[in-house]
Amino acid sequence: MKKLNMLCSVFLMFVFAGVSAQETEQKEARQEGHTNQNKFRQMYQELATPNQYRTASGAPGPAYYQNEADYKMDIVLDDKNSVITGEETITYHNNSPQDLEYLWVQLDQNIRKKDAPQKDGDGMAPASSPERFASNYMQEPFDGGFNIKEVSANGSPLTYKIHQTMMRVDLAEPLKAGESFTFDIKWSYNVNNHVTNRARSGYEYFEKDGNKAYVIAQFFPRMAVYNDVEGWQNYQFWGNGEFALPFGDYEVNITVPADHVMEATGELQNRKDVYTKDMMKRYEQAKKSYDKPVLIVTQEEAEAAEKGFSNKTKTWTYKADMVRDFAFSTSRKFILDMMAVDVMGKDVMAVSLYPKEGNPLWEDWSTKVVASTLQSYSEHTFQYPYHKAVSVHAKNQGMEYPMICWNYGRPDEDGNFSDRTKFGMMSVIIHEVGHNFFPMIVNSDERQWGWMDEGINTFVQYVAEQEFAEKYPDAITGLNKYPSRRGEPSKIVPYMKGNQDFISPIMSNPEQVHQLGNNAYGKPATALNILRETIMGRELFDYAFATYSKRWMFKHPTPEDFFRTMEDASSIDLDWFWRGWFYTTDNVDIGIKEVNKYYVTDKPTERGREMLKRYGTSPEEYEALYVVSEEDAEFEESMKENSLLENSETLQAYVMDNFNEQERKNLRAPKYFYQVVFEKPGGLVMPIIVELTYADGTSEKQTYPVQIWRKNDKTVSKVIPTDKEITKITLDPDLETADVDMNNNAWPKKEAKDEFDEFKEASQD
Amino acid sequence: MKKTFALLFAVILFSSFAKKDHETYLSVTEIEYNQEAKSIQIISRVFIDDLEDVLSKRYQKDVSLSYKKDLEKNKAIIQKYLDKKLKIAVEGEEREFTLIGSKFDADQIVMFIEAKNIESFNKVEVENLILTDLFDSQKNIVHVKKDKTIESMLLVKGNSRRTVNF
Repeated sequence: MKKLNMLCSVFLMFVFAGVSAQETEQKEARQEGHTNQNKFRQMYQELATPNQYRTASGAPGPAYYQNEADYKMDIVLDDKNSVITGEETITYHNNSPQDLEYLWVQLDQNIRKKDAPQKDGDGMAPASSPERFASNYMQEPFDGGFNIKEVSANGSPLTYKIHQTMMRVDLAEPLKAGESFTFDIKWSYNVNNHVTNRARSGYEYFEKDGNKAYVIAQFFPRMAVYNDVEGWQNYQFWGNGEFALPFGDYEVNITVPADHVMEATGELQNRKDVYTKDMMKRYEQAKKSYDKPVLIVTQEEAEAAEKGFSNKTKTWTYKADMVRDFAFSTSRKFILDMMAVDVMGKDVMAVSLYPKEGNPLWEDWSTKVVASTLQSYSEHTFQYPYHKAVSVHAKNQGMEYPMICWNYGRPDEDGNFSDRTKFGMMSVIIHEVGHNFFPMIVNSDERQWGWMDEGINTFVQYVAEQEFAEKYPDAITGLNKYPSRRGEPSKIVPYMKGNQDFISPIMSNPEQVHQLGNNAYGKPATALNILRETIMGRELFDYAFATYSKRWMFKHPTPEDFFRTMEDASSIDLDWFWRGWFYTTDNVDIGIKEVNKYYVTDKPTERGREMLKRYGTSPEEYEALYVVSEEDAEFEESMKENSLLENSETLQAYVMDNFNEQERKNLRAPKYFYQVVFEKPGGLVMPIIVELTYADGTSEKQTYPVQIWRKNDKTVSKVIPTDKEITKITLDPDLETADVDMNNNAWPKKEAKDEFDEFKEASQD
Repeated sequence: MKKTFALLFAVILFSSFAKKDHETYLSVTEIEYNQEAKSIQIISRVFIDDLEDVLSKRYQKDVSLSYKKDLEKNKAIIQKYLDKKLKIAVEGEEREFTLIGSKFDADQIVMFIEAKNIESFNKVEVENLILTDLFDSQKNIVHVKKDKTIESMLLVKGNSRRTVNF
């Protein structure tokens, strides 16, 4: 212990020097007091108080409940007129401790009503074309939205009030806690063309063969969520905040033209009635094919079916338990393939449904991507609980529903496709299949918190994309890793350094942000990736993340439940991280302010003398060591040549008196002492990661924990003792922290290249 | 013609019910004055599929921006579009711009645009109508930078121009 004292006191000197300089500053005016603004203060003000429903550990509490909604539906598609008609029976289970006077039902289709309120402001253009003017102010809009024909219970009509996309159903008697209520709704609506208006569901019309391919979702009146956090979640559907839905069991009959091929949420109950004998045979083969998809309907068969236009109908019957929604896709144009996938010891079917326009890309990749996604996501969360996952080809779409999703990625008419189309398709399939986990099973409230499913899902998507490329190296021929669009810290920098007027904290409602893609997808995904790779490490992060997923599987988590679980399961205090990354729009900018190189000497220096004087002593009374930089008056050229002990007789004598020969051999004798001063112009605190490059060409990486900023979050210094001369110091050398300004990240200073000049230079070559 | 109407109003009316997993209807443009080079340097980012759509519809031909070579091939048509939709007047005088080139960045196209021989940069009027002819709800964020000062604006159809005084 004693051996260390001497060296320690050298380092302490640096610290004392800094402190006393501050102490001597004259205070001119009385300072205002302040509340706790420390970046590491705990988040008692921000987080809801834990209670019997949701505990401080982030797990569901003993009084946690959730209501359920079961549906029985008969759906008929009129292909010719593009109309869907439905009769549904909803059984709503009130598991809450309160009696409910009314029920709220979601009518998402009403966003397409002629008189639907417009959420965006507009301006009067000073000049506009007659076409534009007419379409804006003269023409009749599309006749969309629900036509509600009947709302009744046991044959008696119920009173109801439709307000935009919400319908209140009034009850004669309150629905008592623990009781259920069954009622019927009859409805229809005109299906829109989703290609011309880029909607989430609808049909695509294929001019060449006159067929439509339907992707139908958000198509029936659905129960809103009632819970301990929001009461009734009846925030209107404005388009961005997609879903908040309760779990339930579904039994659905869907009647479509007899020559259609369909996929839907749930287990098909009457496969033998709707499949041909050949299809049944191939389906049995597919159940045993784990390495490549088996075609259930071939392209040849689909092309033949395109010409049919059957007048007959067929009814497909599906049953799904514990799902929060239902969607289906149907057309006579569809090719269908399936493959079995072993998901942690359980067989699941990976399924793809696509028209010939999707080939050759879809037959090669869709089902394989689905299979790989189910495996990756399951390993990071929980075993996928459903029996299948379906990827449906739909132009321009990327939308998620339980067990089924719509994905884009279409080759041109000659069957050629670019890397952008291919990776766009693979990424969107991974993303949308991934949504089965978040929010279809870990059922967060997207009306309020877009990031809880989009952001968390985009993070796992990044991990699954990287794992997919490892499983299928030929998918990324010519690249060394999968080209993920989001997740890498450097990719979020342009957003985070952008003008503050157009950035919102992640903890914002999706309807109230300027850049939803960055706000709800990119930034939270990157934040979680940084947590995993840089802050927590994979092992602690993965365990905590899987804990959150398992705790809230088939339940409704809130942001608090996520934040708390990640800390509870890892022993890492992350309040500083949640506060900075999720509750503010601050960004990361850490820089190297200055670097001083010191030698140690026993000759008293002016600064050393001053310091000892302040402590009431002098070099004559107290044997001390001093530090000298090459700029100081006391510097002598010989110091450069000499070793540590040669520069200081005092230290040499101390070492000889206190250590035996063997111990002396083991002593380190650093020659150079670098004091690096770090500054932090950015608002976020982050660990300091430095790469030291030495004169002999070697380098090493060092990380100082984020807590280094806990007492002063503007500037902090660190002493690096070394035998070898340091020639270069690089901050965040591997771009792990999303540092928005690289101009202050190197010593000696190195200006980051200007993007414009860089492009111009390159294009002139 | 009638069909175009129908298509247009559908786009206008339902844009709020649309979703792709990318941020629909947003572009970011950085306009920076380089004092040394006496030039205005512009970097503009828009979504590739949006640009494909608008060029194809506007110029009645199939414009595909899938491969690197497409960027060179369609340079003239992109320039033509930019001339119509992105206007910058300095000290009250509208300036001419050249599209130096573009590159892909994931699902975005990054356009590098330059105006030369700009002696001063004090009163700058920017109009950005990029993609507003395709989507009513298109939002164009523009940052105008001189030295260390950055002025930002959010331009939308009907409110598409603003003046900055440095």
